[in-house]
Amino acid sequence: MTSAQLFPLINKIYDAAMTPTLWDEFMLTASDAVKGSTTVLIFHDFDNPSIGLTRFSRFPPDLLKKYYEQFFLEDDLWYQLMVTHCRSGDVFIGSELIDGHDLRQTTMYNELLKPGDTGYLVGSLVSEFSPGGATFSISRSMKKQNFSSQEKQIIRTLVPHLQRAFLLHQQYQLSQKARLSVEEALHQSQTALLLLNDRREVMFINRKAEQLVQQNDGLTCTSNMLQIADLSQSQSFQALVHEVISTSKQQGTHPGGAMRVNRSSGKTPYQVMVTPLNLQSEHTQLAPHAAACVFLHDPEDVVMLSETILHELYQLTPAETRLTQWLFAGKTLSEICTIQDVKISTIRSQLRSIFEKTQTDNQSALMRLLGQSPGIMKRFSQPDEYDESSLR
Amino acid sequence: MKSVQLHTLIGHIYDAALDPSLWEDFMVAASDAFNGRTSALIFHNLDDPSTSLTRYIRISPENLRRYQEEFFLENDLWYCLVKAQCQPGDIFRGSELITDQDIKKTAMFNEVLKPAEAGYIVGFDLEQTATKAAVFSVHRPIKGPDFTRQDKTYIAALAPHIQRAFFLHERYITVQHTQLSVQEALHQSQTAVILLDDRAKILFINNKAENILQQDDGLSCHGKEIHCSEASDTTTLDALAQRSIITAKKKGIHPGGAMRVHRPSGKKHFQLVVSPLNLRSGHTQLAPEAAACIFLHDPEEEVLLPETILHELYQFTTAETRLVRLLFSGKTLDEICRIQGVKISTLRTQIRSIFEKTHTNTQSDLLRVLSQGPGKINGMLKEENGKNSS
Repeated sequence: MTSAQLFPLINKIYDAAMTPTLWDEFMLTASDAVKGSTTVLIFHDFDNPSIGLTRFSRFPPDLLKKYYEQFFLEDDLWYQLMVTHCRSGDVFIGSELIDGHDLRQTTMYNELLKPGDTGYLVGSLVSEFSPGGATFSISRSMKKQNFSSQEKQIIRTLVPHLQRAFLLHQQYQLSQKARLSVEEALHQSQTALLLLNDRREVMFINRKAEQLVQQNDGLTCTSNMLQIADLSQSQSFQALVHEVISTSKQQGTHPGGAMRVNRSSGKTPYQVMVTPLNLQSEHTQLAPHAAACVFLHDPEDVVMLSETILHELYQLTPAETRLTQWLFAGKTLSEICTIQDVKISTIRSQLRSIFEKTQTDNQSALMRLLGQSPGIMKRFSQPDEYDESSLR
Repeated sequence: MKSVQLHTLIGHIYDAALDPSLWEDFMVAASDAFNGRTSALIFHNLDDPSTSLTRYIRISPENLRRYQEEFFLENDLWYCLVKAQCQPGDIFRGSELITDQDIKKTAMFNEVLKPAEAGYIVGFDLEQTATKAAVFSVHRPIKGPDFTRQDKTYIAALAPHIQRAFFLHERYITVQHTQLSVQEALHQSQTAVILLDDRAKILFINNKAENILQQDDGLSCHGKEIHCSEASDTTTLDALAQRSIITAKKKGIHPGGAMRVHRPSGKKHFQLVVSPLNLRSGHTQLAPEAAACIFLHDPEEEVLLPETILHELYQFTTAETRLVRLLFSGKTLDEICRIQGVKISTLRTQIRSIFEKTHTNTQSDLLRVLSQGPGKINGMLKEENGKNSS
């Protein structure tokens, strides 16, 4: 095989390493290069099953279904032979592992390979790691000639590239998944939060913060920058962020700080808090981009507590739950009397029961407890307003 | 150079895509294959400088420093010659751009190239976009033979692989940076968070949750599983996690839930809330592993509000800040009187002023406002807290 033929194949391998949908293109080209038909690529990481890959090309769908049902992994003849006879990186022709006569006796041959018009095979146990591994194979009809040693050599040339590509795939996918998981957790938080990089660009904004800036009320996020309408406040904010970024880069000692941001609507100003990120030394070479963490708070935001969670944590009755919610929303006892049209004595006895159940002594302690309990605020996916449309 | 050698070099290139510390290995191998001396590899990314790469081999530190101080980019002879004479994507030999006589008159030759045994060059300078460029070159001393046309074709064969390796490197690093950044944010959060995968195994524990588990007081972690010291608590927790996971997988609509965890020490129970992660449909191909999120709270924990934050948000005086912090840590006015040895009337004056500054009317209202706002980032200002505790 000439470089002119080989290089495009190698290119396709690395393109697919980070864009798994491109594997099919590589498989077709590789199959053509050795005049094969069915091509199979399997990558399994048993610690992280969701990043696994199983790709078939030129194999009838009905037989593929049968393969998954009856001959997957442990029940796959080729996989068994490979694991028994090969080491990581080995390349083989099927007939080296099992002779044609024996192969024709097997269930997999008769039920799957023969109807799929394959049987001759050239392949590799590309890499074996614990727990998991990767294989690549190309097959052709047993009515044709078996694979030649030249064709085996072509596969051998590709193996080191496949090894690297699988490693790239694994590392990239693991990193990507970890990132998405943690981002999702930050989205669940009822604290509005943004991460800025060292050029002050927003590199992450959680849903709560997104909602807040969309109010477009003195504080916005435009072209990836957090913008404050009030000029002098904007300057103070820039100065604060500048100091905090220096701290994150270990070029300063400013611990972060807070400020209020006026709203064009005249509502109570937003509270904005900026803190440095504690970049560990292990990251010096790959320093996280994020250099500042910005928290936003809207004091006018009416915070709703989840009824279910209040009940599950403290066994509050529905009346007690309602009272707790009103208190946490900032209403006074006498206001609640008017709203609910009940006597103050009723409210007082409910309140006593709430104190007892929450192990608090007074309203202040109750407010403090509720304010600090994470996950107690209503979220997008709380029972009371759970969005059934997300199921579709 | 044989095609086998070329193939080996290509292998080196992609090894480096995975592990950038291996670029030098490639450069040494490439330089040897071309009978070269020094070699330079630069990947500029002005959009995101942290993914930029600059590597030089076989050049002394003094020479390199001089080059970087005096002849970098716009002052680099080759950069200027290529800009002036080459088409985008061209592979060049130095001798095609400037004669031996002329180069010997340049400052860069006399100050950097000659001492570095460079002068003949073969390489490429590919501008990928306005903000990205890839540069690779191999050099030989001018007293020996020049690079050949054949050398140029080999460089041309390597170029697309180097570009692809940079691209892979950039994509991988970008994801990794984001991953580390968001993890760091979660670590600094004062909310204890644990993420579970769809088999209820722990995927991630933030620092705050780690602290709670380390108390080993009713909640602990064995392998990748969370256990409660009371069997009935463990059963409840498992059930909550299972229900949340089913919802996350969109096979149910249970919203998760909450429980209290008994502590052998007899302290107030931990509060624990489990909620499904709202997996967005856009990620069907790449769903996050995490399926459920556990929030933990220790009601016994003493919470301090950062002084500077209080001052900056409300312009409290020093005395007012002290009073607010004591109230927030759960002390009553009477207790504060005793602690501080002041009259109740003094405190009452201070608290009236505090109410005014925070637009509140009662102590409970004050604590409500503080806990919903600045209380959320309590403790994040580590240095300040460290100062207070000492």
